[in-house]
Amino acid sequence: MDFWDYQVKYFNDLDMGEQKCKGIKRAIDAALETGDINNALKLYHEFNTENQLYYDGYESVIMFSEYLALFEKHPEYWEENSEDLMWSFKNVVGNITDFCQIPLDRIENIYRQYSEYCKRFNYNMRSYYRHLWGDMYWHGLENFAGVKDVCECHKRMMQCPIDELSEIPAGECDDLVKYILFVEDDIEKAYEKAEPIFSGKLSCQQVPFFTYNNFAIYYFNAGNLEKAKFFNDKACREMYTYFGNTGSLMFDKGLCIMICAYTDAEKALKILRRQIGFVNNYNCPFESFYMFLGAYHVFKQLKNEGTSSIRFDFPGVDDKIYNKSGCYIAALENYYYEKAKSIAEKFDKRNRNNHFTEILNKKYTFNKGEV
Amino acid sequence: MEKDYKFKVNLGGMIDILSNHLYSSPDVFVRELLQNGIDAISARIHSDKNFNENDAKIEIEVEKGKKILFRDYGTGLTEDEIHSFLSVIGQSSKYDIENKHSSGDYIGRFGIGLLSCFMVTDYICVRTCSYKTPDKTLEWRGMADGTYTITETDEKISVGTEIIILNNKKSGAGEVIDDYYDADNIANLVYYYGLFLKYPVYILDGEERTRLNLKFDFDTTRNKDVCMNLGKTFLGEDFLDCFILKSKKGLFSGIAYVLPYPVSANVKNMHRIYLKNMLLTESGERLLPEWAFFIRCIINTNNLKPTSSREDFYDDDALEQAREEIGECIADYLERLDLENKDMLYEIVRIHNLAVKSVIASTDGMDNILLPYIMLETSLGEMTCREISDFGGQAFYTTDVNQFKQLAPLYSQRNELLINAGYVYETAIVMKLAEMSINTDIEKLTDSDIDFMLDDSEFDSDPAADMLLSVAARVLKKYDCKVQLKEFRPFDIPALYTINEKAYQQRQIKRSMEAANEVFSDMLSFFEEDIKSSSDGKNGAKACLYLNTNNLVIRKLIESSDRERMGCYIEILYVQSLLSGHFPLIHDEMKALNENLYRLMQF
Repeated sequence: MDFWDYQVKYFNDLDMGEQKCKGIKRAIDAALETGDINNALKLYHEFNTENQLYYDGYESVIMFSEYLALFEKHPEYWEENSEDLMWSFKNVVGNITDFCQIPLDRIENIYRQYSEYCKRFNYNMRSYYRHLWGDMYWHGLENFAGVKDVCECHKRMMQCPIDELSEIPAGECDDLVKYILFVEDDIEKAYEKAEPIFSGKLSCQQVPFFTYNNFAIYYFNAGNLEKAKFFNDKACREMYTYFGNTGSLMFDKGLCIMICAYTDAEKALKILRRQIGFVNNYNCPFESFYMFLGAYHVFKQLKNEGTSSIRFDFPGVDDKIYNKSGCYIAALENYYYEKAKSIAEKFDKRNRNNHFTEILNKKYTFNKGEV
Repeated sequence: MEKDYKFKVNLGGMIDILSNHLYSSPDVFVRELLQNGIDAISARIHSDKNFNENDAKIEIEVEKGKKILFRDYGTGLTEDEIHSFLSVIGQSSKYDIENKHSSGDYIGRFGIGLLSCFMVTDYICVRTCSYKTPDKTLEWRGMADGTYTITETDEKISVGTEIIILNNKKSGAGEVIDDYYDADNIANLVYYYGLFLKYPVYILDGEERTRLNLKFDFDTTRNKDVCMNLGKTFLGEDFLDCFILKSKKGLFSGIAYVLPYPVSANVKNMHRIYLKNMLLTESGERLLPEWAFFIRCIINTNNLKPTSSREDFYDDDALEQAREEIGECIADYLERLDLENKDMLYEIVRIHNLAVKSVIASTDGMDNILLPYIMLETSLGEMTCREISDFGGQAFYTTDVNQFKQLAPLYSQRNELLINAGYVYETAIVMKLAEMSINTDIEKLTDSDIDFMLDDSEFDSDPAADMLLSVAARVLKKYDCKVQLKEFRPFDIPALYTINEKAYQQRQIKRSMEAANEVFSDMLSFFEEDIKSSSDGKNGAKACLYLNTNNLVIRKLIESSDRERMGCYIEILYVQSLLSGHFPLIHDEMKALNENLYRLMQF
């Protein structure tokens, strides 16, 4: 069987994300059973990509060690599969900090092993520092993996030229804009750097969604609801068009929904309805946190606008929240707050800071006053 | 002292901006010329009472490799209008006219269209005769360096405008530019951009005249065969069905097509979108609601605002309104099918299962129409929600695919209904179905339901059976697996292994740890620990092996008094039930299978 045959037999027609991942896993087992190592390696990579891009990334982290072990056992396939392996490894490194179960020192070990593999296969450290600065920023970490702070980490990244493990130009550009917005806090420069994205010269599946969303977050945090709405509308549209039916990018979607809750709560609810089903079975705490945060803000806003109950697909039966005529808004607000809180506490304990709790309890102030 | 200065525009630079940044290809100069011609004709119909609409047309002549001539029978321009509109970038005659008339017939509005010709030539000659001064023909010659001349010419033309471009571009793409000076290529571009233009466009070859566009009206066409053929020709698919899109507010009209195969939500659906009958874009996915990814369309709009490149629309309220109305048209169509053509609706739902499920899960109001047609996997095979609703009695659903796979054969034997709601959107769908179902009572499956379905064993509290249970519990402890005696059908299944999602994850982690290096094994142990620490709660990992006392092997085991042999058989049955449940074996399980078989051989 060649790769295409596996694809047709096991997962070609399946829906993206959860179902396709199950199909690819069956294909991996089939390839391993018949000793088809080369295709098994390719299928592990396929699984990693699908699981990371269109689902929660949990199983790809769990299963990566099987992939790595199989790769190491078969040097005859290294040449053909080393780049795939490194991309999968990069995905795992990019995701591992998002699991609060893993202590920081173990995450540093994974980063260290990734850096060794980068050297072994002649890649530079750009991808390493790219994920590291992201992790340090979004988790509020300092002195992590031998780096003092986010600025130093980003500086080290910029010293490494773009290589085969770098993102495509749209991704690299978006990453730079993100750094300028959130770390340098320089909106003019961010606009300037984002020009190729806004003008449509650079784009990919996730960009401009990420970029619009980041500008919306920036303005939202700065209290400029009008500009936040402008970018949030665009982000919502991109998200709806390309990721409406995939259980991926819950971090970005959650923030997008949170902002939308303040500009158009009904619309936010509509988007939330479509996404929340994915998160009910999600295994990535970081991404779940942001979706729960988004849900909490949606119900908080709906409550403030005077809605008392709605029809909502609440997982399971809970008399406090769900009855046959609908769900109580206040109960839903509280439910999602508590869900987010329990994750925030785990992260803060692991990270030894209050980063997530502060995000959860942050009061947003806009031109019209505190909301 | 304050002085006024004027900006100077570098025309070469402007052309570079147009060709490299604004327009996607030099092809668009044909669209711009058609657009100017059609707008001039529309203006003449509005303004010149003596004009016979039957004379409204555009003619094109091409001298291969040398020259292209575009002729329209529109208003023509006076000298003042030439100075104002042809020679000032950004000023459009249509803009002024639009302020006076609100007919909205004009396609262009930016005053940069003619400049696009400089992408394929360094020289444009415009001969024009205004209906206001029908005896006077003026000639405007514009160069790519920004200079121009105007002269009155003795070579009289009819009222209207001729635009002549010569193949003399010095810089640029050489042979690529030559391709434009070819009648077939120009005809193809007219066909591409202006197929639905309301006035005829002809290409002339000596005495011969060929019409390049269709006689087609989006507003009145209702013939389904014609529409399906259009879809096949222009969108390249044999579509499943088509229906008319018509805005109540006059924002658009067109044809929507149902794709004959499933598409991912992430695939950009290409639609052909026309602005005032001129092709605007083939990738205007923003005009359709996000959930309508099973639809492609050919659509004409008169009231949406194009961007300056005229390859997309401004994202404004009108676009939002149009999108909503298109959504309503699709909903109306589906509703009509529900009444008039149920088979077609079944087929659409079957093919676009995920898209339809997402619509139901995320929007209110479509449930009544679409829900009955949704297909769900059940213990009795695939069933529509309507069939489930009509089934009667009690039905259960599970949100765990693994649990469904293990239990479905048992439910099937009893002719009872278990619904798989484990995939995305299905929980929401089943919950809505539970609300709407009249004949069937649908509830979520709980552990006690499983216990209830598996009958109590006649061997309960039998000392021999107790011994089997205690041996089994000891043997299976290392696999974190509980054991129970039950009676169930089919009789030939000796043991049934059930597992919840957490336990499934736990198995996966164990399997990965077996292969992992030190760093990853260490990391995985924290995932394992996390699952174990939550195992006491309601949502913890649970695995159970049910031994079927209806099965002869189990009965024989109960009769046995040899604990050692009993342990071997139990471990083999455990592995066998894993295999029949399609669970990949971890190393310890495979080892146990081999060791126990070997031991049995030695007894």
